[in-house]
Amino acid sequence: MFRIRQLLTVAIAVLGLIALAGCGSSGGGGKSGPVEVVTHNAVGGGSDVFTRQMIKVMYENKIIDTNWPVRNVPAGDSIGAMSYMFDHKGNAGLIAQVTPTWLATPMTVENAKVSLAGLTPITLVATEPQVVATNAKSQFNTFADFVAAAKKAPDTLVQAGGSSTANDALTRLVLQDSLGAKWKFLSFEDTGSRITALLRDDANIMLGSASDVAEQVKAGQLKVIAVIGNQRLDAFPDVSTTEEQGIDSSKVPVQFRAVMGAPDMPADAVQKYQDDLSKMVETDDWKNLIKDDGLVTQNLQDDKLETYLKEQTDIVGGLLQGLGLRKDQ
Amino acid sequence: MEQEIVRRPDEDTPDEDAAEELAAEPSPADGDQNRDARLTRRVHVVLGLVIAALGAWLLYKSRTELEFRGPNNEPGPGYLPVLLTICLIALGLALSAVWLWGPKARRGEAPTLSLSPQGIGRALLVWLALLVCAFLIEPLGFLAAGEVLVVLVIVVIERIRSIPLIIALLLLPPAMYLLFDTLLEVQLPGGTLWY
Amino acid sequence: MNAVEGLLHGLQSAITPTNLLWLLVGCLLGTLVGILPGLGPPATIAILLPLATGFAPATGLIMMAGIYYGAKYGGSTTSILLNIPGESSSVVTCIDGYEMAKQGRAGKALGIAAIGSFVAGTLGVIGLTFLAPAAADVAVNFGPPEYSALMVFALLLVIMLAGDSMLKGFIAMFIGLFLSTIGTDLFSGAQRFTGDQIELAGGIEFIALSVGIFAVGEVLINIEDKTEKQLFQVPNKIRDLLPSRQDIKKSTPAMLQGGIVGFLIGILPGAGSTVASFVSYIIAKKTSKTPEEFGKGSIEGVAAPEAANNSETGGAMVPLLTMGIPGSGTGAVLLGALVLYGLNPGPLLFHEHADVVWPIIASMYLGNIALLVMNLPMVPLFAKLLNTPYKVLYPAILLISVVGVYSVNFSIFDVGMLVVFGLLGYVMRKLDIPPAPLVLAFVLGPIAENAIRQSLLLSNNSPIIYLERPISATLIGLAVALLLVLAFGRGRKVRDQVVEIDA
Repeated sequence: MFRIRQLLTVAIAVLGLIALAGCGSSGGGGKSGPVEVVTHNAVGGGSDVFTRQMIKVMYENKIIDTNWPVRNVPAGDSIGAMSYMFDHKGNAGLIAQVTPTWLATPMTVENAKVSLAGLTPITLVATEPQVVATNAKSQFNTFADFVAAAKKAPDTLVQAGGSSTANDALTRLVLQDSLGAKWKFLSFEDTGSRITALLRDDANIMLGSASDVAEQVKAGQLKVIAVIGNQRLDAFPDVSTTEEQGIDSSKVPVQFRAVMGAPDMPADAVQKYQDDLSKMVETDDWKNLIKDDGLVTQNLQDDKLETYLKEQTDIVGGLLQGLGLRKDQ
Repeated sequence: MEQEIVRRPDEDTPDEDAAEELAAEPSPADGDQNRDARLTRRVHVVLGLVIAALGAWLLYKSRTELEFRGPNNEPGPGYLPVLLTICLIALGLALSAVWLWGPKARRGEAPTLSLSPQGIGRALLVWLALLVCAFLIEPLGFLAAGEVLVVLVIVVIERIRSIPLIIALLLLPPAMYLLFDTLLEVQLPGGTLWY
Repeated sequence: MNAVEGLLHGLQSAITPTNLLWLLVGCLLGTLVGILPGLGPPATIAILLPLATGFAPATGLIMMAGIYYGAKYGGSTTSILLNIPGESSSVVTCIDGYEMAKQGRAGKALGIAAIGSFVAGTLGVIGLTFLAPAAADVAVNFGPPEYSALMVFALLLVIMLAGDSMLKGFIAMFIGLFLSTIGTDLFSGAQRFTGDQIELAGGIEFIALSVGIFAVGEVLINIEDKTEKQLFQVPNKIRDLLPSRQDIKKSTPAMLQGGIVGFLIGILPGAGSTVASFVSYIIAKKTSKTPEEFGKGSIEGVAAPEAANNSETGGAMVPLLTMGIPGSGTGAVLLGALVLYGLNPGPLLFHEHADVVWPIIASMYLGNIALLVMNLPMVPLFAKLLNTPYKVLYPAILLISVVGVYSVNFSIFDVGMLVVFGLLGYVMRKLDIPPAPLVLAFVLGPIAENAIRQSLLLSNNSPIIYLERPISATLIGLAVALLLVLAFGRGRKVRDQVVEIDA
């Protein structure tokens, strides 16, 4: 008897404390707010941060009137996130921030019950051109330099990157093919390790987004020797593109950032999101974000988006097939 | 470990005298001890064989499903699993061997395991209750599944009669729901059956 | 701005009413969250992120640092009282902490954990303040060969936790290593032993494994006895519920050593708290005057890992603040927060935003003090929690485990894993196979494997690379020395026994 009372007292006291803290901090922030944005990263990951930045721009420019909550579903490398979307078919208030991982991962798993084709396309917001970074003291000043060195000594130079199905790994495959050069690929779990590998001279180059290396470049630790593609970046105005250096990068899979909705989303909801996002890319805040992060605004919708997605699916699918990892066919 | 087995025979002589003295007067407790010791020994031998068998099966899977070496002849995805499973087989067999022929086992000096059927039965019952609860979370939602677990504990396992205890237990799932779902915004399953 | 100046300026900014308030809120939340298994600082900070981005950067980050610290303090509570490790760094605390609780010394364990955390946490922040640049250098120079050498060294240390039967300890360790290979291979993208279960593609969730083996396994073992009385005796006098002066004196070397070791290892991204806590435990065991107590409720066995995992926080902030490279999961969340505030983390953070960085560091000192003050009085209260009849306690433990595990990935599959590992934990305990080597090997395995494969890729499969680089050569040397001690140390012990008997 006495002990139960003790237990209950303790329990109520603890709950009370939590209630106080809870009321103080999360004042009603939408648990089941009107719109939820799903991302496949844990908090702090690239896609998660981008999503929050997007929402912040829209909220501060009064395009949307509540701070849309972000739902992180890191399980299964995008499969968990997609399954979550599929579980909520027809929900007009559920969108996701989609990257090529959502394309690639289901292809590497047998009978994945989900795929990107099932989601409702809304808008391709931006693409993130990859940049080639090296140690600031490296002998390579352009990517062409690196390629020339690689051709002279095949399989000696090293690229630090992510897992072998990540974008930078697939890009390497395409480049190696079209250039006839070979270099090694060293997989690291996260960007930080890749950067320290460069700093330590364990690796010669690294492919990543501009935002990954911007601060290191500013501090004079790393330098960027090329932008992959045909457009220079505002973040590194003096860096030439691979096209300018005479390297063909048309078949390289692109790191894109798209917004897609739950399957079978009603058309008027889709239109509303498309309008909101179109307004977003016009704002100054967005333009600053793009510049800082080294992104390129696209705002592709409807047919153009469908074509683009199909193109990327084919590219990525082909590459995974070549690696022997494609299991869904 | 090799050194242990090698050195022990030297010690055998003094201990054997002591053991003989004790053995001179057997008692019921000794009988239980002996039975437990034999059971322990048998369990360990079987355990070792089970582990070795498991290791063998996993070794087979590692060899057939995964590449041993990667493109540049460096270790591939199958490399470590193969090494680990080979070690497991060796360790399993070693365990069986030590308990079958090792000096400690022969003299029955090793610590015995407590393997009473009633105890194990109770534990498995609780585990089954947990399993049932886990299965029910998706269809019924956390609250209902939690209550199922609590009810199983109250009625089947513990047969609790005291009202305050029953109430305290029944209040546990809602308290947790309050704590996690409402205050910490960790959305708990609502139950696909209802929605 | 040199370190002392920066610190003083930072203290000035940190001691404003707003900042102090949110620091306390953060500490409190962190402690409560740390108590609950599964839910950790990353998730909590994530929940608060929308609110925090409305604050001034310094305030928001001070609160988040408070949560980070508080969680480390809170994590020891469930480890000691209920044998439930909240995160990988709390696993080692369970070993002696829970034994102490079973002996009715829970209050002392909790108390020494709080005190040790304070001492070491402060040491860690001091290290961060004054040694950041040098520490950053070390962190950069730690490449794959160094990591793999450290991991091999650590795995050898794990064996030393095996206790009486080395064979069983090895078996547990190898099973743990094997379980860690399940998932997607980093280098080739191949799926290993996932059996087409998509949820396993990311590997087995650590929380499901550790909470299952420790907490659920423990419940199942205890439930075998159909006794009416409560599980542990809890003393009634306040004096017995807190560590005595003697206890504190005895644990001081362990606390200091834990503080230093924790900081040094915490600097290394990825390796972090697990390695730190049990390296510190082993060192404490080897340098203690009473090594036989370890594993049976030695107070130093609680002080050392608890100290290490708190000063590790200070260490983990080093690469984050000096280079923008997060050292741990929480570090990654803090990194995201920094980006959202528009403060781009990188080598220039200290220079460009000294007005944010130094208040954060200063607040960590204050946070340690606040947490000690908050936690010590709660110790008797928590210890008394064990007075509840086990019949009520164990369903609560089971339910908390379920919710905690679910909250990590919102996955029912993980709950299923919890149930499976609960059974495994029970079976292991029945068969006297130590669980700690399994769990620790599970954490260290992937780091070790990846590091070794990276090293061999770099060196074209030649193991010479380990000897070419100074740090890894040193670590390999230490590992070899340790191996020799293990192999022949036991021989010497047996020889001593023989001599005794003959005499």
